[in-house]
Amino acid sequence: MSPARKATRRARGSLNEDEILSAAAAIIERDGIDGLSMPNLAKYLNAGVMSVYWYFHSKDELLIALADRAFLDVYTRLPPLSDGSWEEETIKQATALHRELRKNALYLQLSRAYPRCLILRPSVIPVLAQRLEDELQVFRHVDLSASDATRLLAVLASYVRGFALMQVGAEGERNHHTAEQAFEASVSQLSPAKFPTLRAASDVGAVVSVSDESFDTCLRLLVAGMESEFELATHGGESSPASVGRGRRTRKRST
Amino acid sequence: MTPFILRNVEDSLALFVRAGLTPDQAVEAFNAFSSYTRAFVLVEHSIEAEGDERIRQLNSVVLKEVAADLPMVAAIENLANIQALGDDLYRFGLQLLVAGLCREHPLLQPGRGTKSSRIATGEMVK
Repeated sequence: MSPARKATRRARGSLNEDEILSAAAAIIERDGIDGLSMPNLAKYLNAGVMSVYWYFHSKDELLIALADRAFLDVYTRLPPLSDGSWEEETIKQATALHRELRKNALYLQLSRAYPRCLILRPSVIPVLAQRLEDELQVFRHVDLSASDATRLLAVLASYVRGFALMQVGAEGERNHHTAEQAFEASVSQLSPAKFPTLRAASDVGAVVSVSDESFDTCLRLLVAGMESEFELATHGGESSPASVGRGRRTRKRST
Repeated sequence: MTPFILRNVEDSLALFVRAGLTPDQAVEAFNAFSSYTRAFVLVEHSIEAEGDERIRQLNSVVLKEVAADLPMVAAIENLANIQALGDDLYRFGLQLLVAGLCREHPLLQPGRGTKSSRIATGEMVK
């Protein structure tokens, strides 16, 4: 290494974890995940590579920490829960989570490239637990056990995260033909006699759509299903509090 | 798009139409079931494939600690299992979708005939 380079290197001990993660995020934004390496990162930070390894023992560890930070960033941007009906709040929060995930390209990029990033880790659990506590409050005016409310929220969370990932995947695979157009082209070749329903549909490309409208439709049906399956009251704020947590169930049919 | 897939889609859409939906409503319903299934499976498989039992156990320990200050969370039965996805949760969500569809389209009734039951069990979309 040249003397000039040595002279410009930052002082030992001046790095910190947050700065390293911010630099890694900047490199990924500029060069993609494949463009990130520990030596590149050290160079970007004007530090020795061993200094970076002191904080993160591997690129894998670095990426997971980055994903955790991005995940927490998503949650801190969600709107606070208000005192609306449980349906309004559930749809509002699920839609907001979807919107924030979609805006957080780093998290989605990491999750697709490294599925390990999707695993919730101890560092994010306190934030998620607090969020769950707040979300369970949404159901406090309806007669639903905390366990059932948690299952409902788990279904929604999986759906929202998975759908956002599907959308990113679909965008990445697009060239001049969208999946919807390709599907429509395939259907247009089919015999109306043998495929009457496909040929009768006015927007058959919607079969394979991963648009925001598709997201909203499925979310709406899930929430309608919650109301129907659990016979939940449609308005909050009138009944006695804390039904959630008493372990009561009103589900009509068992799974 | 293979003929097999197109045939499968046609049969699924036709099922909804026989149950009372228009072709366009059937497309919307099919897309909702398909979206839910693909999204759920995408997350579930990613986590299963890369899952780490040690992390789950650590999460449970952290969750138990923080739950001490969170009464609603503390009231959850089987707190340690709330991270789990799995077939049971998938089918639970699927049943919500069926119920939601029936609520929006009262003509549809789950369990009315063999084919409706096949929707409810996910046979038509998995």
